[in-house]
Amino acid sequence: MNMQDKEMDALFRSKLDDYEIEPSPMVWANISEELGNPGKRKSIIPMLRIAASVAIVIGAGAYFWPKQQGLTKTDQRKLTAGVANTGLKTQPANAPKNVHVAQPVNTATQAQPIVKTQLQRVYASVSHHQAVQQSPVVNTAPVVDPKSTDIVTDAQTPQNIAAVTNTQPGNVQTVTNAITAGAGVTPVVPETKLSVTSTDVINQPVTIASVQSESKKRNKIRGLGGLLNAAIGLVDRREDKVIEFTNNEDGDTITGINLGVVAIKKNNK
Amino acid sequence: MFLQPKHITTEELIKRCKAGDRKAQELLYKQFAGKMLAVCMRYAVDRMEAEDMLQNGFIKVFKKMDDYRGDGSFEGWIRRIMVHSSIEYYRKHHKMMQVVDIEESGYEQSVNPIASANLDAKDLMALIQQLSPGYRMVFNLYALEGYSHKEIAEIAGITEGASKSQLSRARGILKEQVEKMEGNRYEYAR
Repeated sequence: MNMQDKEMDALFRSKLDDYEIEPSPMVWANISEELGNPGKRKSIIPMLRIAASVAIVIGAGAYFWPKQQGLTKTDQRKLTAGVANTGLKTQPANAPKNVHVAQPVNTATQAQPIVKTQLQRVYASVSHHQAVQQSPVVNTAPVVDPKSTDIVTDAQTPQNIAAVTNTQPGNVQTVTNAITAGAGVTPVVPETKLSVTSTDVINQPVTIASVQSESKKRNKIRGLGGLLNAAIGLVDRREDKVIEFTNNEDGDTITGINLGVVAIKKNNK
Repeated sequence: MFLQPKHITTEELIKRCKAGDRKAQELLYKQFAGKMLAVCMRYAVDRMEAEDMLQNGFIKVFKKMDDYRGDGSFEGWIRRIMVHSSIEYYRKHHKMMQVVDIEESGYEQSVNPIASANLDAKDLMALIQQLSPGYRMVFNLYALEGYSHKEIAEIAGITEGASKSQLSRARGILKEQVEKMEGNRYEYAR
């Protein structure tokens, strides 16, 4: 190697080693952004669990509840009392009327107040949007009740019963869709999304289960509540599930609700 | 801009950067960015590309922070990442290194020792950037970063022989231009 080569190398080295050029501010901004991004995706999962399990509850409730037969008068009173207690003053108060109808139709008409009760309890447990949430339920009432009156007088065929009962599940399905659709957005998801369904409620096409009797299924698990508990248990891995049922003598009642922001649990289990 | 944070040791700074402390990362960036941009400038075609290389390089630095175990100079460690990252960037954005065969201008090996007083860093940087990419990269890696021809062959994807010949040519060109510049300067200075 030529001495001069080395010298020239040294020249360049000495001058350039300490050379500094100030970068434009954008560079750090980009670096910072790139470093900051990964690692913000962990808080969605618990909300997804809640949303999924709520969807199951409502879906299962709508699916199975029309099938429930042979509820005693005690149950009816308990349910209607529950309806009254949620503070609704409008249509749902008419529900008791529907209940005291001809026997074969009881199944159908009971579907509405029962499902409504369930929905109301869920809604009631969520603190903020109570007023708004009541509206989807309330809105369905005028649609459903006149029909049920018709059923009473005409003693309709099972198809119409299906139509009536399915209207409710249809609405429920909307709610379900809304919830699962909105699951990933904010922690307040269950509350906000429920209020949106009021416009879609009436015309939602029926997609939930056709009315078929599968009462044999229930023999394996203790009652509808047990079934729901099982289904929810698969999805909701927390200690207190989104909604819990207990099978008492009279039937199934809700003994616990946990929606993340709000949690209620019955003590005398 | 070129902060020398006296209230915090480099070691502490590194530890916090490893932990993901954004403030610490920014301090570290501010401490070395100027120098590293100068390094990138040698490999880039222009200032904008150099800044892209700088950006990529530092992102790699922060992501690979855990790999630094305190053995050897920290600045040297950053610099190595910067050089590799810059070359990788260059190869991704430009065609294979074009080595233009500049005719040997028949220059003679000058016997005068090279006076260095009148040339500053900016001038030399300009000279380097005038070289065609192949010569430039080899000269950078050999003369400025201190890699061997064997290492250069690996980094640049060329043979050792090619590395040697390109280095030789690069030096020739540079020397000629340095002397020219010096000569002019000397003239004007008189």
